[in-house]
Amino acid sequence: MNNSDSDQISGKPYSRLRYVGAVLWASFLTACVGSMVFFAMFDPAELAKITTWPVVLEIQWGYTIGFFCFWLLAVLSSLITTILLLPGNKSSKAGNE
Amino acid sequence: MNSSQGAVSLYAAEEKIYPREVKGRFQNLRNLAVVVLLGIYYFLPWINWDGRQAVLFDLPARKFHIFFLTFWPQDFYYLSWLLIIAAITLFLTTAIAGRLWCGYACPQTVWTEIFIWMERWVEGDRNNQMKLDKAPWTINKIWRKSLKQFLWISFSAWTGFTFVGYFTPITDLGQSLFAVQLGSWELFWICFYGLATYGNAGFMREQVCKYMCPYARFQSAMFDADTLIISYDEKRGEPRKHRRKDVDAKAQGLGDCIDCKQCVQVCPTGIDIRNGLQYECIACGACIDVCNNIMDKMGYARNLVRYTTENASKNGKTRLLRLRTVIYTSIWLLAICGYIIAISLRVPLDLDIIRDRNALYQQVDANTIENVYTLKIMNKDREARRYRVDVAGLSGISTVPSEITVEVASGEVYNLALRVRAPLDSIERMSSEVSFEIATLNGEIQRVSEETRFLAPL
Repeated sequence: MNNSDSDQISGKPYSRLRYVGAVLWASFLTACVGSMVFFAMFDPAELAKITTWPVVLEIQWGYTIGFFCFWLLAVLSSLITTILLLPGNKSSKAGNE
Repeated sequence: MNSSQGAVSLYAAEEKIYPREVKGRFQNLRNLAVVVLLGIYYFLPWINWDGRQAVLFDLPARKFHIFFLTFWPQDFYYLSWLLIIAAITLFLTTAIAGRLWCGYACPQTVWTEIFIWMERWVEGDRNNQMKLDKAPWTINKIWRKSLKQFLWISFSAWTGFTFVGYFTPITDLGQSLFAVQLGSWELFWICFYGLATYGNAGFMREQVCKYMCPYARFQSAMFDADTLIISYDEKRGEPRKHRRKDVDAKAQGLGDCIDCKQCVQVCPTGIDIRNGLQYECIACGACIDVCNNIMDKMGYARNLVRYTTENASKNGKTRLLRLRTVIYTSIWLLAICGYIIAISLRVPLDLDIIRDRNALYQQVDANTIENVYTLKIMNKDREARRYRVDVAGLSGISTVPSEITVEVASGEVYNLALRVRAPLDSIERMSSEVSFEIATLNGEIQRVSEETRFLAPL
């Protein structure tokens, strides 16, 4: 597999924005699905009853925080995937040869 | 830009694309799509239905209202089914007409288009915009740039406001906005959604399609030789050369392409369609429109750049009916029929059973075991209902008292604490399966049953 970090068609190197965008957007979509399924099953009002919070918040904050937790988790996963696929680490290549 | 730096650099600045304004059939279609789709988005929350907002995703009450339909969290299944139908529709249209979605209907395209309109209105056309960006910061430049930002930011804020208006009644939201009493989560989402709109439509634009969109990557899987694509007629156009109108191109052996580069200048993703089909192409048709205008001016035939299919350009025929479209259409119809049947068979009644957590069971006397449950009976109908509660699964099992009826108002959840007794000699296992059934006593017959466990000391 050709794992150079440049665009296979245009030959340009990927922009930083491209990495940030791909990570954020892929994880955003995943977080949407995740929070939809999660909140269809669990009511944050019910969850609030069995947990303690330092502040009292409107119920919509429950959904909001839930969504961002999902997003954060998905960002973490996308980020690790991206880092693993980055070709920057030449030492491993040298070690293989 | 810095492609010469090679493989190690992570950073390559994107050159800003200034799409040239274009007039023509496909641009008119695009304008229509912008007006209709954004019209729906911005005005839908203001429509009322039956005394409430017609489309409202009421999160605190956990009810989704869409005109005459009300969806509950338990109906999640219907919502996901609807999303699956939408996805199959997208596959089908992609197989037939290519990236129709990208060019005309995608929110990214639609919002980018309206941001470009605002930019053009303030900064002028492509040449003026480029000149302005290169010019030093004069009063004129500061004024124009600030006005553009003001328009963009206001429009984004309105977009965010409308978004939140789908989740909280928009008239109340408007009132609290003017009274400067917005709730924290409302303010947060207005800013967040507004910022996302600003970033995506004002700043990132075509880069979202090129680098972030998953559909742009996998849509090629739906393509075949009969899919509509935008294509440059190379046979007719080449060899391309700039020429004056009165030059006899045939005599000089020239193709019809006058190499005016207008097709490149109008392209919102900045590609040259003459290099063939590229994954960046969102099939908006701007290059077709501009090229047709040029061809008209030159007195040449239109459609040097046109919507066509690989097969049509090779042998003049496009097959609409082919295995791929037949399969997609069948799945699509099946999903829609299934959905309609499921919606019409939907019982507007729901039952959840929660076992008492404090005591597994209670021995009432030598031969009677009691379990306690909480039944959550949800009336999803639009009128109040009376229900009878029954239990079955063990011989001699019954509720206490044996006849229980409950009245549940429309849209309410009734919490019924219920004791159930069964004779010990009929129980064979420590945990037996029993089922509760709820059935209506008035109106049309609706019933639903749910299983749970009955525990006993064995």
